Amino acid sequence: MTFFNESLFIFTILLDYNLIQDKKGQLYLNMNQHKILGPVIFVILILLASFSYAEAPATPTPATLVLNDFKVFDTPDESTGSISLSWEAVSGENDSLSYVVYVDKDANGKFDCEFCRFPATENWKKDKKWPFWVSGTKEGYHYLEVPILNVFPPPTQPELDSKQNELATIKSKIRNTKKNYKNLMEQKELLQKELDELKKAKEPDFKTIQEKEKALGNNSKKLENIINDPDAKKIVDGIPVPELTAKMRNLAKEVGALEAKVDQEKAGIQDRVYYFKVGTFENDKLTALTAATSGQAKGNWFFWAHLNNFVLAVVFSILVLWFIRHAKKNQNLFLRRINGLDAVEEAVGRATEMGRPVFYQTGIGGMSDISTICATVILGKIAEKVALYDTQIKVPHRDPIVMTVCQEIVKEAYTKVGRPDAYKEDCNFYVTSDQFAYTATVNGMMMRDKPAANFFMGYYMAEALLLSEAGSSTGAIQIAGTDSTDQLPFFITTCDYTLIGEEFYAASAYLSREPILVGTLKAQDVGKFFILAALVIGTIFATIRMPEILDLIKDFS
Amino acid sequence: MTASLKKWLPIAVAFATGVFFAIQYYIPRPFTDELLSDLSVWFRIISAFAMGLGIISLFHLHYYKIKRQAPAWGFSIVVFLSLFGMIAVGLWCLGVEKNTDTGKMTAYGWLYKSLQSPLQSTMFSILAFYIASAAFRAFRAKTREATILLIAALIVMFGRAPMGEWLWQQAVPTFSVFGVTLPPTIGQLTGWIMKVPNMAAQGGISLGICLGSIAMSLKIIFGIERAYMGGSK
Repeated sequence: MTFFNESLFIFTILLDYNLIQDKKGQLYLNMNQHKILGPVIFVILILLASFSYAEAPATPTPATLVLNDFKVFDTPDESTGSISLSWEAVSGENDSLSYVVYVDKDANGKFDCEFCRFPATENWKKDKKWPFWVSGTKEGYHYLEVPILNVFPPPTQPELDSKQNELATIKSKIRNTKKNYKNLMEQKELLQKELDELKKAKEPDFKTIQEKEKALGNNSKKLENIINDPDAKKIVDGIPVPELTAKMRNLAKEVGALEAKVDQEKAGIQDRVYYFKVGTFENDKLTALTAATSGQAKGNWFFWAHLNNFVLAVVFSILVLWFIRHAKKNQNLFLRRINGLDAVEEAVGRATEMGRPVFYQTGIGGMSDISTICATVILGKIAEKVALYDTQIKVPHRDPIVMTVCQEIVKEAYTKVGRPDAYKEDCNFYVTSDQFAYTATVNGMMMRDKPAANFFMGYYMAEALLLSEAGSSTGAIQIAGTDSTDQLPFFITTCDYTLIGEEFYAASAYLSREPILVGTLKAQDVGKFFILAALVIGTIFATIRMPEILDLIKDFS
Repeated sequence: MTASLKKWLPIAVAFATGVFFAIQYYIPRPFTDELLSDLSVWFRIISAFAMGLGIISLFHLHYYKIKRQAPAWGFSIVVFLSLFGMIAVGLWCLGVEKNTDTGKMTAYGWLYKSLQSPLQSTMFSILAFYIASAAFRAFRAKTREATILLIAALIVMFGRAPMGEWLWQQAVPTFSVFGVTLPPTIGQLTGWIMKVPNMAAQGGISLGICLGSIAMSLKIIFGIERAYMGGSK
């Protein structure tokens, strides 16, 4: 096409200006005189033009692509401004076919921003860990997530990056200057000392002295350079600090302002509508392209993948509350015997008879651990019995907050049984937060005080066996309760009674027999039935290969 | 503060924070994560203040031990020397274990590396001996259950030690039935014990623990369990 245009253009010029002439023996071509040559040239040019058409055809306009079930939607379960695309795979897709995704801010835009190009054998919706109620049909669908901020970064972002780098460079310069100065000063002192010693010698080694003096000179020059650095004007603690701190502060302010601007820009970028086109590439040629389809990112307010978890939590909560209400009406709910908790009475009685203290430990956890809370609740019940029997209780702690809570609980227990006078403030005491120092201290106390009963309640780690084995060697009756499955075998081997998992959580209800608390145990039983049913149903559906049903009982965290 | 406010305020705070952080799990918004991390910072700050209470308690306990000359009161002097010595050195070194400029270890770092750390390791190493003595007691085949435990423990011990595998190969002849080598190796037996019966038991216990902890959390959130606040009523 280009060749034809150019030829025609040249021929027109030749005709217009009559430039083909023969003067003084040279070729002379005058269109008016050579009436045959002109049309011949014209015909040749036309032929050439037709050849050029045949050799280099124009790039064809891609055909319109119609993808089955092509959807552009806000990516679920996230709020970072991401849009997702999905479409049904075309039958017979293979490696030679690629998909390309273009994005634009305008429906009638050029769509010259290619987001990505991938082989048709990649990017499947089934690879996304979504339950069926979020993803819909997964099998045979292509899926692509477009993080809008990556495609259209905020305009101020490069400036922010540059300022942040500048700030980091300044900070690093200040740090290095201080470090260099300190090192040089130390070297200087060392060299001076060596030089003094060399000069004091009976037979001074002048060559070495000269070398040392030279090194000292170099050192002084480097120090001077640092001091004379135009940036290093301020001396703090004898060290020159480059006077870049003011600049640094200004920069930090600028960075802060830019960050706010970038956040604003990000919000603007995320909130608008975007248009997408999907194309197919075959043999590196764009063969077909869809029409522009719009989509907008939204800030989601609910994690739909957690819906099953949410429903279960709500159902279980309702069950707990219902059973509590039921327990208030029917106060004779059956509780199976828990030997470890029945033995509490025996253990405290033994301590009373022997005139020895009861040791109670709340574990390694802090007050934010549910097992520690449970341990403190059990402590209250045991402290009531201790107060009633007028025995001594010792509660060593490794967390001051737990100690403060336990002080209140034990005090309350003594008051409840009418023995506030017998309460001693120092029965709860802090040892240390260090795991093994705590263990060593409590082991030492066990060896010295020879307690009649040891209670290990709460969460334990490596200290579990260290404590319980030391307690066992003193001949104390030992009752443990923990939710740490790793430590359970150690407690079982070293303690007389062990509350395993849920028994530990049932302890407060069991000991108090309060209907409200007992009601929660019934709810737990129903919850267990649900879980067992889910296990059986899940096994069946996994066996018959129905993964969608399994989604109902899966965790999609 | 009135008595009723004193009673209800902590319950209201527990309810509000409990409900919020339970819901937080279902909200995919960055601000909820930020709030969660902010609260953990608050918790750390409160914990730092609570450390003061702990030190007062420690001081009180050991001071009276020394005053009353209770048994082993000499150790209480060691406690004070260690406590104040470490605080003094820590303050002098500004809590820095290693000088970032020179790379040299500070006195505080030395105390930590050369005293505290070896002492911790010593305590931890005692665990090996305690495991041996506890195992000796636990693995006596007094009952049927204890015998099963002993056999399972022996298999796992042999299976986990390279020597055990070799001894099993030497002692137990193998034969092939329809292309399957019998009996299984000690490693395979160990794997089965750990993966099947052990995992099943652990799973069962974990289910109970999860339900128990959820029920406990609900009791705390709804103010049903209030004993941890120092009063059940």
